Amino acid sequence: MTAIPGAAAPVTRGGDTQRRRRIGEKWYTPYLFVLPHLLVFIGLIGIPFVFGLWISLFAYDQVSPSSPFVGLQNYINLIDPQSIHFGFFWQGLWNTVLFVILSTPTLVGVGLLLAVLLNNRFRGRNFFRGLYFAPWTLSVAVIGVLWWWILQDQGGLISNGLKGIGITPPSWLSSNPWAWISILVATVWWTVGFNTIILLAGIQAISLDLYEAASIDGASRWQQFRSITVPSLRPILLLVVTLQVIASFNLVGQPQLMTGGGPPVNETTPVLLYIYNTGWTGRYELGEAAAMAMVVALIMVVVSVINFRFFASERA
Amino acid sequence: MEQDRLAQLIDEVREQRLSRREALRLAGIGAGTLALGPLLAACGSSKSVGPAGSQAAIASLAPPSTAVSLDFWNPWSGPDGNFAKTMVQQFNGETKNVQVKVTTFPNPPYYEKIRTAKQSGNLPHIAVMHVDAIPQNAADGILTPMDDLVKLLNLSGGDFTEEIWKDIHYKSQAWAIPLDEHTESFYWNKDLFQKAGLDPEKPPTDKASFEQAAQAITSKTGVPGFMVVTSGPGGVFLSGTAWASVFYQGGGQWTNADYTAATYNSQAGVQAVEWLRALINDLKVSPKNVQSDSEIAAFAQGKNGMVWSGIWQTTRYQDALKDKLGAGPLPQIFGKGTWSGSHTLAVTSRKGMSAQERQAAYYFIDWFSTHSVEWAKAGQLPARKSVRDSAAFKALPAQSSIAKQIDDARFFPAIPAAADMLFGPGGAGEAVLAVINGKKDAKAALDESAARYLMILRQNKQKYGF
Repeated sequence: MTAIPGAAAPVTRGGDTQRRRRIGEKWYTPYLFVLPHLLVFIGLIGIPFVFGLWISLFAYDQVSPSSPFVGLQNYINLIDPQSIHFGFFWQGLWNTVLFVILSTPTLVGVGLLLAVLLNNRFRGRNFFRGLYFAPWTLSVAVIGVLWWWILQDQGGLISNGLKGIGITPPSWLSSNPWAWISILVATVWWTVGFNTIILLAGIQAISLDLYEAASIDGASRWQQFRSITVPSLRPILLLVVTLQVIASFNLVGQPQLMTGGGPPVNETTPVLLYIYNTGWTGRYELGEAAAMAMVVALIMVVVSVINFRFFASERA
Repeated sequence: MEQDRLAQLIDEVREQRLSRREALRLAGIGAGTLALGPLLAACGSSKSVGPAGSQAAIASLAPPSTAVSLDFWNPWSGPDGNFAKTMVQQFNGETKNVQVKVTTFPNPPYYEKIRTAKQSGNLPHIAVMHVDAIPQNAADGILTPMDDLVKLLNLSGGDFTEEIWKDIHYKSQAWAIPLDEHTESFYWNKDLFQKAGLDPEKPPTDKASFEQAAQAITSKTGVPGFMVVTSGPGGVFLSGTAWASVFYQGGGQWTNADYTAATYNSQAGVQAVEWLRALINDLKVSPKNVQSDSEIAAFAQGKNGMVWSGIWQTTRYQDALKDKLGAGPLPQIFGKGTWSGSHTLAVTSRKGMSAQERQAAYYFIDWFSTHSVEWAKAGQLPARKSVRDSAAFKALPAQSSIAKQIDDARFFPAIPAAADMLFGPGGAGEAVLAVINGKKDAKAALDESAARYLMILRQNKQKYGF
């Protein structure tokens, strides 16, 4: 593979002296271009993040008269097996990580498969492109209840159907591994269209000449896929995998609506739901919740860095 | 926090209120977003210190002499909200000087909204409080005491029920006026009773007759006589409230008298969960895997003989089963007692509330309470005895029949975060689900839960000094 067309060559230091300044361009001109997004970034991500870090050092309560400084106690609670939150936080984190591990390859893999299929010429292609994307426009409440009605044991579509032909189905929503598989299937059905559309756009940007040349050289469809499609898609795949990892980390609604965290308790509860419940229900422990959120954020940063390294080294 | 979570969810789906953005908001609790709420709310606010309580006492209960408009917040985003709106319209029509503006938030995030409003100085004048939310909101300075109104009207437990009257008090002050009690209630399908050879007009009233009826329906009609919820989004709530009712019946107490020990791992707690498990495993009247809400759906479809539900399901069951529906007090498995929630009306610590506004708020709260027969139609028991004794209420067949158990309704102790003992992470509700699914031993599960709650109790006792 040669360099990706359209990717700008990096500007080297010292290149400034040779660069032609356009008329009216001042030293601050590039900063002005960045400014609008920078303001939004600082307002919506920067300040809240720093503030979250700050309140994680307090027994923070937004309405209580006192929010005493507790140092790292909120973090220590998370590694102290005797604390109230220890078991629930780590169980939730494991549940979420498990979902990331299960869902990322599935959603990217199925998305890629669908993108390749939808790139073929066939009758009704646009219809199917729309069809696979359509569920993505639904809200999590709708897909949660929809799949609940398909899978629940007493009168659910699949269970009832199987019972009707004399098969005793497993409890899809309250026994593992079925509960995770159910959540995964619902999530694939709901969101795979997003990955598909992005990957499809990436595939369409690959020059047909490459495929033509390869087929003249006698490459099979599979060889074309491995040696042309996948390498050409690498930057897009990096984007899709990164977004997918983050989206999967943000799992909340599907288990909340389909399994309620079961079978029967705390086996599919995602960590974000526990963080929400810690901060906004019961005792409103916002400081503790912020500390948990920081730990999860740190893990997501580490995973994203590894992800970038992985794709970057493959490119070299 | 309490009650209608599930009904809420259904409503949200029906009205597509839980939009993708809403879900993202929930999902975006990753570092950044979590901090955003409090930060935005923090802008331009100063914390008032401690619970308020210094407002001038109100001397008479009448609309103020000058025009006043009041903000009234409630969490009634389901069909019940329309009944409330009808009542407010009637009030506004009758009372020219007091105009009440209703704002409804789903719950959650109702209590989040209230806390954020407190922080930013935008509280309404009047807010609905679930009774178990009163201590926390009183301790956090969101509510103001209403002892002057109690004194003025000479109100006492006899005007409501003794149990609910205890529970609107925190640290010896009254913080709200009870509007309703929504008890765990008993519904049966008269049609299925007949098919099973049972008298549809003689519902079971105790352990033996309940078990016998459940077995008769199960064996003779091919549908379950009763369904014990074993998992699902509403599992902790539905099995938790069923368990709590039987726990109360066996004389169960959540804590000891001075709140230094969590005591729901007592014999009353153990026998209650073992009885629920026996309905599945030994008596085999309930199927093994019942997701939350499927027992409600099955009952409404005539595919479940008997059900224990919150009284707010009444209208749904009436619509579905018509005259085949029987409704009444919970059978007394181990004695008297039933779980109950309650909506109460409270005056907040809104900044700069004038004496006129406070007087108007009191007038509205009393009016709403004494006119709550309309509210009862939404599937509620009026907390006020005079309303329950009225002919208009007695004309509501299901509600008035269920009202026979009003004095058996029990509530959580009046301390902050008490409902977490049943509904919170690691609470009794989760223990009950673990036991009836055969994952844990009854005593061990409740011991573990009570031991965890004891840590919360100790921290809260230190923080709030109750």
